[in-house]
Amino acid sequence: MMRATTLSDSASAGRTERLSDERPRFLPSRGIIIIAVLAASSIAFTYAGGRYLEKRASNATVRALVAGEDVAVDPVYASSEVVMARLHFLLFRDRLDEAQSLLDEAVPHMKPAAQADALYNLANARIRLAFHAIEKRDLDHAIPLVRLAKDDYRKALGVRPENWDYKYNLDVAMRLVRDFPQPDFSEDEDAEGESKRVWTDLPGIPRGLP
Amino acid sequence: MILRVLAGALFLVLGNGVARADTPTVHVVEPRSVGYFIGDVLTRDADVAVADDAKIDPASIPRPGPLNYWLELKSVDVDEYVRGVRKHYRIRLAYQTFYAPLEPRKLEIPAIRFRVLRPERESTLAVVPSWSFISSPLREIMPEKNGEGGPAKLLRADAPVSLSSTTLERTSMAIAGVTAVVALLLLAHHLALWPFHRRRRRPFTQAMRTVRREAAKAAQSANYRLALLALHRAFDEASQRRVLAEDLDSFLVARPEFESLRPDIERFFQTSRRAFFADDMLGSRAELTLSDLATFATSMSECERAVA
Repeated sequence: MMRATTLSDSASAGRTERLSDERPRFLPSRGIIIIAVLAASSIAFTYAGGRYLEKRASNATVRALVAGEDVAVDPVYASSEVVMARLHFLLFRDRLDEAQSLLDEAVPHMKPAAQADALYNLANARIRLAFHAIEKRDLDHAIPLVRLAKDDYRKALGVRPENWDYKYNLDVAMRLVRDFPQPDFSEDEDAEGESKRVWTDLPGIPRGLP
Repeated sequence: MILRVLAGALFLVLGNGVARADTPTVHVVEPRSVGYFIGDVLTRDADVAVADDAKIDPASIPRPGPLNYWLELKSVDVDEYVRGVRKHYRIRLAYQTFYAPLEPRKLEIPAIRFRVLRPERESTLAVVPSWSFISSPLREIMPEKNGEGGPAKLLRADAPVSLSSTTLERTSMAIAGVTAVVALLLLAHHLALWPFHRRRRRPFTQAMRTVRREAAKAAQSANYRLALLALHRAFDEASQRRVLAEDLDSFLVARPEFESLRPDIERFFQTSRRAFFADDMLGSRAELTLSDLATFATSMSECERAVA
């Protein structure tokens, strides 16, 4: 308070001297400057406050999802963190189809790093399902899962080539179902050819190794 | 004769130079050739120099996308610049390998052929040659078996769910809030509102309002009288006692901020004396009009506010 008064005192001393001569009209008066600062800071405060409330609401949604509440999420407008939390919720419950359709819509609106993480988590869930399927000798189910997972790992690495976890898990997936120079897996092949190829595709099951 | 020979030799030399400038030259800066893992990005910088009127056929520039089952062309950036008589293309090719070898393995990136077009000539080829690098395995061939958890243990953990940080918002809210409060206090001070309403009163500001109000009304001698009185009361209040023309010096000693307006103040007192004591309201009104009085009151008020 004291400081404000002294400031204005010294400023006005200068003005008193000027008053008798031509007073520069282009200088806005002190009142206008104060009002402008007040308006600008109020706008900034409102904006930051709005963003803060938004983020707090999004964090509350994340907490609810992590706690296990089935909160619906708008894939387009939700923040990347909320989408990741929703994805975690769905993947933890093996609701992969819902997770896939969530990401289909949400990924273009997410931050790049979160896009890659989301694809990576989805791929991990698929590989885990594939492991279960392999244990049950259900290879017809396992191979498409691994192949989808590999695509997502590659997409994730496309965004973040430096991430070692992505590389590691893609390597795991690659050893489950190897790529071959002429992948020819069109769907119109007959079932017999399919099952034969499944066996050649799957050279080693990790558990079966000595 | 000698001249002609010289001219011929010169022509040969120049012609040779032109011929050399005709054929595109390619210089490639390769990245390291060993130590690549799955998912790594390799960047090759090719500099293709062509004749200044030539250009690379845009259709021969490869588009980003998968080249084969393990190699992807991530991006192609082409920059053009001219150095000397030749036009250069700086082409940055970024590849990403997705090969998962079981042992270190030599892999080959295929060559790229750029078609160089020149007006009225046959197109030539600028070839960025194929290039090999060693790709290394990332993991051991036979992972250790650690009983519990099954094969899913082979995987690295999922990316964690995180909360958004609100630090930035809270900091900017605090800064903007403090600025707003300070501005609000300054404004209150400026306008003498609460909590600064106990500041020194401003008699001339009040007088200015009265004079302006009277000046806005239809011209009557009563208005003029009221305006003069309002100003007199302001002088009285400002010095805490009655001020007459003779007291002007002591008034200005007590309130030096009005010193700059001394001629105006003197004129005001003269006019006032003529109006009240010589009873010549009309004459004084001609000398110092109501709007003159308003201007005077305004400058007095400004002086007063400048100090407060």
